[in-house]
Amino acid sequence: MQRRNISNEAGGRADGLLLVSVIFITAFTYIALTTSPVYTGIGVDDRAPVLDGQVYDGTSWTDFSLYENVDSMWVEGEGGTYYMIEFMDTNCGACQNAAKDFPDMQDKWLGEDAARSMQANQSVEFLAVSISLWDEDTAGKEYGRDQIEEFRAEYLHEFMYMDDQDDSNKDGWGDFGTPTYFLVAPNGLIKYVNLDAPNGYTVWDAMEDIIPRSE
Amino acid sequence: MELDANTQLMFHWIPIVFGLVLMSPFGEGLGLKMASRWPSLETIRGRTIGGMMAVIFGGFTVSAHTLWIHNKANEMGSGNFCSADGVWDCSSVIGNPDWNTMPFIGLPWGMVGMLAFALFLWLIISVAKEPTESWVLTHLKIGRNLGILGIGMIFYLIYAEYDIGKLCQYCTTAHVSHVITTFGFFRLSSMYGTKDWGVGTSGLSDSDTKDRKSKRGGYVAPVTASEEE
Repeated sequence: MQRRNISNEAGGRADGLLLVSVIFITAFTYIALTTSPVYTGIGVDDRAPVLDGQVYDGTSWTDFSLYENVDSMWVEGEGGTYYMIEFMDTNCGACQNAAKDFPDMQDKWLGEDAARSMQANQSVEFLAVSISLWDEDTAGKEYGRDQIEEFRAEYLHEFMYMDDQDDSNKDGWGDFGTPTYFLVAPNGLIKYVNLDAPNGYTVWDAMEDIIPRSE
Repeated sequence: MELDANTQLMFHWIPIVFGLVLMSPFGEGLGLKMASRWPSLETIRGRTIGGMMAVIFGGFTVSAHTLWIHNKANEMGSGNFCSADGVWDCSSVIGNPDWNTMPFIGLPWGMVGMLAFALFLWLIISVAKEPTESWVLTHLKIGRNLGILGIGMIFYLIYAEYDIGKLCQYCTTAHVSHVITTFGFFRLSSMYGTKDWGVGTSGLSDSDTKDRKSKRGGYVAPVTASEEE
């Protein structure tokens, strides 16, 4: 009697697929069970996205990379630098209003003689990231490094300003209004973002709560 | 006792080196010694396929380890799970957010490696199981083309290492495994259809194979009672 034999050719391939699937799933399950990765994002406890660009410190423009200034092995209690990052636009009225608060805050937080006590070897840096909310052609809106330098001098700011007016960091950080504030811990994890914060809870409040005082 | 990252890496090299030796002319003696357990190793095709399986397995495990390091780096930063020793510094490469994922897709490179080596493994296991089937050449072509594509990616990753200024020993191990695998697919493709391809596993002649194929095709020729006796 002649019988049909269906899918005879699939035998070797199906066997192979089954074996490879078992190996793959085993490896993947092991990885899933033994690691707990922190993903990059702009929420609290996310790893801060890449933030690269040229910064102006009052004298010259130099390269800066947030990633190179964090220590991912840092744990609470160790020395390190907290970064308060403000995304702003030199043409934005709310940013201009907020800029007036900074001289008091930089006296409080910045430098070795900061008014606010901190644990040994811990410090705070402010970083203003100047982005473009409007096109350069928009009437009344001017962009460029001269505007950044003038803005910084006008409001007596003593911290770094990053030129991100080409919005080159937008892919990682996303599209939001200004001013937007982040507090990044020395290990690169975001500890505060005003987009997620309760109404009225500012970055200055968060810094008071999060950054430990000296004992 | 906790093994450091470079010692752990040696475990991935064991199947890769074993496979490479088996694929090489030096592997003939090794293949003959193991032929009692795996008869196909008597043939050059069997040794090439067997060697490739070992190399691909090593590539798969080192890719899985790379993904594990990637996740650990995200979880707790660099540590002794990924050693940093001069220019060989896998944490600086695998932990670098600018380069540690595939452009556009965003998959970690370790995951890309796992998927690629899993596909290679499936292609080669299928060929090993049924070397005379009609789809074998298609599998070899897929393996060959995937290998060429992967070598393009390896050049991109070497550029990444150049840009970072460090070399990643885990990534390099996966790259070596990939290059050997690609070479193996080319070798099998050139072997296919020649006498080196043969039938393989049991020393059957061509007529035996045809007879076996026809039976596996489902048809069993009727025999008379006198023939059975």
